[in-house]
Amino acid sequence: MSEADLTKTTPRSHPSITSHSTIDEGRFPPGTLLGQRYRIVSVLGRGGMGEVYRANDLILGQPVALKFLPVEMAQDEHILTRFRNEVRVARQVSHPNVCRMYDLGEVDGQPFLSMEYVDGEDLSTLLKRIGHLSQDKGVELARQLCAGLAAAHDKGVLHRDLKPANLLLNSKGQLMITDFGLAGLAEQVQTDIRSGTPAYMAPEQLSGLEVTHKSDIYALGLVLYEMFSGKKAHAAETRAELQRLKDGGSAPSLSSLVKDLDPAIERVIERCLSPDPMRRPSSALAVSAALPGGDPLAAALAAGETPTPEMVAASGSHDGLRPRTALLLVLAIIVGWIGVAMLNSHVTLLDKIPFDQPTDALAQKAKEMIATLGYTDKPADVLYGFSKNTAYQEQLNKHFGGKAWEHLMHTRPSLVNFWYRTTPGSLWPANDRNIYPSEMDPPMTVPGMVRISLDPEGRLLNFRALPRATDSPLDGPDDWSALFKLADLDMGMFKPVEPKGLPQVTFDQRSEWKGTISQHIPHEFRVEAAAYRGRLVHFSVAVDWGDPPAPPPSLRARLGQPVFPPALHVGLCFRRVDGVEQLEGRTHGPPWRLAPGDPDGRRRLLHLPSGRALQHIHEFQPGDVELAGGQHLRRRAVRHHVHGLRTPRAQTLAGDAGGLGPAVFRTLHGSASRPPRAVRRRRRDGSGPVGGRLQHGRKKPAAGPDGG
Amino acid sequence: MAEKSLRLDPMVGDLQALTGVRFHFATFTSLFANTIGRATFMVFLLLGLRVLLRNQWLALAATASIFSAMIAVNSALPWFVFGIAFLMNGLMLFYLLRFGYLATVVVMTCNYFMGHFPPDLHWANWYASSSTLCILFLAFLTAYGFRVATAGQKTLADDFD
Repeated sequence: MSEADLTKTTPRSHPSITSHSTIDEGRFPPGTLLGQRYRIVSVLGRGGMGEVYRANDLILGQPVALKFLPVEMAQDEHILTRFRNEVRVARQVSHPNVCRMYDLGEVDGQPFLSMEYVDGEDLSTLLKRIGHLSQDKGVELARQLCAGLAAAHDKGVLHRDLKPANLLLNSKGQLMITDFGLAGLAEQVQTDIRSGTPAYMAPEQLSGLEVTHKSDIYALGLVLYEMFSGKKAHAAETRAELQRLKDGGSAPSLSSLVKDLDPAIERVIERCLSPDPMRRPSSALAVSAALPGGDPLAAALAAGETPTPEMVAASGSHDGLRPRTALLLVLAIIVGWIGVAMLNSHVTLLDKIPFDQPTDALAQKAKEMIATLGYTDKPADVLYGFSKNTAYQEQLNKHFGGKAWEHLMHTRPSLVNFWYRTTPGSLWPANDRNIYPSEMDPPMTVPGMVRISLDPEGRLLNFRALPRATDSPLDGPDDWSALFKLADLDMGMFKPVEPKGLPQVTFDQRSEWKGTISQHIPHEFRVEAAAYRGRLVHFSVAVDWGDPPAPPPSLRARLGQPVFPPALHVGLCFRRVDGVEQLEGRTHGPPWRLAPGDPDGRRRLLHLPSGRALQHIHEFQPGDVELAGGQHLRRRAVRHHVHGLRTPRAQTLAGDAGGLGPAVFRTLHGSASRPPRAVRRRRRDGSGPVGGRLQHGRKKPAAGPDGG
Repeated sequence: MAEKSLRLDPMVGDLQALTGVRFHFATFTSLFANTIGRATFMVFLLLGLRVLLRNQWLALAATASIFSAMIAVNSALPWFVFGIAFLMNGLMLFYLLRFGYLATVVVMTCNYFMGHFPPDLHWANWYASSSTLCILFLAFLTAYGFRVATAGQKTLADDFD
């Protein structure tokens, strides 16, 4: 079988288009005017599938190539359909390395198509003339070829006839892919798999199994092989032999044919020529990236840039997961997750204790209890949450050891408590190191403050209140049984005892009881209660362990060794370091200190911690629900709106803060609080929005009445 | 059970997250910030120790020791907890060295998230929304991660037959 036989298995839509093809006058002599638009200059090529002419477009004044079908095929509807398809498909691909297709036309019943005229020669002719390309030139052209092919694949177009004769080189040395006569969308060409040139077909295409973009990658490998070696990868006399050679993947080693060839070139061509499509590079761009100097990841990293996900993904040598692997991974994830969830059920506290009442129900119950106990004034601020009874847990571990878990499930009080506190003013932490108010911060120091704790079943555990001097005296509580009822305790099982504890509030009545809760709970409980002017001010239900809680052991005692200072020091640093806050400082720092990167992303990142403030929004001011973002949001607002003046965004915000200053700080900072010093200074200086938008950089303060 | 014999503290999760959707969201957003901060600190600590010790693996061991000691000092069984924490921190640091900062942040986020919103199989509990949030978040993160990682490339090499 000759090469010509091997290269003609299907009717071709056109011959090669080169300026060096056999020159004759063809059907249209030079000077012929076609359709009042094209003047024939010369014939470029001629073959069984038609003729290609160089012509001048008289309207646009540009050279073009015109391809005509042979006269005997011009009426064949199948050929015509293919002819039109060539234009339709090729026009989908627009790339500097793909020959542009213009339009279809007809002259005297002879259809033709117009395309970009390439003043040069095809690669096949060049290789016959010079043997093979140098490594540098070969890599350069290979990269252009990969780019053009990738553009076609990106549009879903398979070329299906990639070979040196269909690659044109113009006078500037630019490579262009042409002849999309057999090309088609991947999903539309599966009925016509074997169309193409057998010598450049992939094994799966040659055997009629399938044709995919990996088939084009195989052809690309063959072309590259030929470019660098000047020889065909598979020298076969018959089609059967060709199939055998391709199936065996037995192309002679490139390094045996070309001295000093970069191993990277040989490796990527070998991968392209793999009989298994899965082992071939995933894309033409991956081939390009694997060529010497073609690693965009390395280039990006060397330039100090972060590679985009697209760049990382495109550099992959494999084409996705195998379905079986993917399925196994998905199953592993699901099984793993179910395993974690099942294990969690055994180790999480909430699943070990009765925890039936939702938060809202507990809050409502706490509110009703406070009212029942005589504190009926509507509070200005309310805060509630859950806390872990760590002291109780330590006692459980101390007294019950390994059986602590069983007791957790059955005993009272619970390891988790619900706390609810009200104040006559707004709640802000008294300890400046705390960002948010909590159960214990601010402490119970202001008259009118009330704090109550319930267990998860809604039973009263602890109560503390600071009555106001203006509160009118009540009659009770002579009968403490109501308290026992709120705590769900049977007063009959408790006996009055001599008070041991001293309530931390002012009182004029106090009582204490000791008893058991039920037969299932072995230890005794101690109940304390105290009242002032008829109002309950203190109540507590606690296990009577018989001894005061031991102070927590020192670190030295726990470790049994001297604690190595670096760990502690770093530990303290760790507690103090907030990466985002650090980043925030960097963002708002002077420009020369800002590191290169993604400032927009960094800025977006800074807003994440603000979400934490949502946790501390609570009712604020009687009869008026306002969104008070807490100390954290206030600090952030100050930092963003006042101190961060170096970014346009911050300037805008600063303007807003100044303009809305009183409202902002009344809401965020509390009506009784003063705005931060920076704001006061700006207001005094008149540099806030009242006096105009804040300028970039520091503004020289205007002289005030005091000369400052 | 190990937790009985070893008297380990039960896993509590974030009790504050039980107080409503708003708290879910607050914890959710702050988790991101916290994990970014912690991962950043881990990176800088590792780099600093790498400079001091002149060996990557020694730096890893030292960093893991520091983090583990911070956890162990508050435990009733410091040496046991130190050993477990050392393994876990070592794994995390190895992950950082092998896969980089972003992957570590994601792993830490998932780790903290599952600690704050422990997933379990008791869907009838009133606080099951925490578990649901955990599941949805992890599912979303997985799907998003896949989408970003593939960057337009197809995930599967072949179609399922």
